[in-house]
Amino acid sequence: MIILKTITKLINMNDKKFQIKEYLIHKDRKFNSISKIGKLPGGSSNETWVINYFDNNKEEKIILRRHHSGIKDKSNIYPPLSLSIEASVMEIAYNNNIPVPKIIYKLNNKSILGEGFFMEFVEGMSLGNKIVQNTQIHELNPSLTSQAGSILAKIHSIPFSQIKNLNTSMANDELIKYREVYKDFSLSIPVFNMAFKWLEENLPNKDNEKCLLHGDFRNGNILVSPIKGITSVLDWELLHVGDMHEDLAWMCVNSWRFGKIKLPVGGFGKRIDFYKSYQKISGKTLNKDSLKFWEVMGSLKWGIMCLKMYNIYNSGYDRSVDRASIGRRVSETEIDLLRLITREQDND
Amino acid sequence: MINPPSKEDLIVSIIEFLENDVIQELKGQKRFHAHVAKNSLNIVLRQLKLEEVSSEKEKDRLSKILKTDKTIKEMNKILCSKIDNNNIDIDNNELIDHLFKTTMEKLEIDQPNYSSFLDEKNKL
Repeated sequence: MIILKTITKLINMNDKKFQIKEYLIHKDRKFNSISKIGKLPGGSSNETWVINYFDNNKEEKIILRRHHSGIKDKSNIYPPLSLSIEASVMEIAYNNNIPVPKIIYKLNNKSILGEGFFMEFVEGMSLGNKIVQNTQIHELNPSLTSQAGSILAKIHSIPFSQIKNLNTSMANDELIKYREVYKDFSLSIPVFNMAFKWLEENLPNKDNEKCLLHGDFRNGNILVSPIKGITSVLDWELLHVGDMHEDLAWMCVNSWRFGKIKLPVGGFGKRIDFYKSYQKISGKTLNKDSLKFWEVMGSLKWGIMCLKMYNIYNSGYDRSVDRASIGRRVSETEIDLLRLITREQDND
Repeated sequence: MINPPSKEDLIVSIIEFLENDVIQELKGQKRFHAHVAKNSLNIVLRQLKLEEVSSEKEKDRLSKILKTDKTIKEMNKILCSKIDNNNIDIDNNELIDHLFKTTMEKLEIDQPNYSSFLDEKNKL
């Protein structure tokens, strides 16, 4: 019997699902009841797993985020952030009453599962287009938009000097970084060259306050409940220290409005409600020109990310249909850049 | 001369196959990918119909701005370096007009349902 058990263990050594179950049972016997383990599709540099189990006959879920087992993803422009930093910042956020999933177990370096963490499962809608089409969610407004502003203000007030190994990237650093990436493609997209020129001429004040930024705060990375509003802020892997206007403008980039062009805040809200609550909670004053700079930068960034993703297809690393066709979404950012640069900003 | 069906007909036949037989049979990521595949074929279809005329217009405008007559690829490269080196002002009306027109022609092929494209079209 013991021999048979050992053999089964050896066979299962490389099976991720088996490893996840073993890890969790070792932590808590309630995980003997695990009924399902599945990996969610997508995820560029990190994998997300959902584990179903029973606790006192009630079905529960727990989430695992861990580094990809394969080659490092090439679509990342920042050096990949260690998941232990991501987990530490999420813990700080949780303790500051920011809606984030609670971290349950942090994996240490020696763990067979590699770097990562387990966190609680939070209910809510995450797909941007589903959120903008949901009438119940629109009825929450303007409070949903104010909530987004106050969450961001709270994130930006997290003291970051104690957190080690964070990237710092201000306006000029971002400009240099993305210009290099664009140059590497050896493509001639005149609207992009024009946008780089415009950004160069409109750089915000160097003294803009440095804050801890989420780095990817957009409709698609927040969980929204039609009753409670924003229940969770997800995907912290691009967090860094930077200009507060960056996060505020990223949420307003037209690519995340999912067709609701007149509702600049993620396709669900108006700028005024977003900025007002941000300023009220943070006590900071926003600069209109800086916001515009970062919105142009945001559109350009998304355009370059689309090129990067197409390049992953082209390099042979991931030959999926969506990686191929995303290159044809670059023209969406071109029209947005032209409208932003040559016209007065919409003030909705 | 190549026999019928035309390349357009062949593409349409695959789009209809995906729409009527394939997508409904699939779930999850495969279903999503089948949708993307259908969209890609629609892009190709629109490109076959529109690219020749729009490229010609783009080439004409580039020649006028740059006062030279080269291939569209070469002229776009020249335009990019002129912008980089401040040899053309980014406030230049002729440049802005050209970039708007070119981008709208691209979107007519790539993403004719995109919100900003539709909004601009309404303004024309």
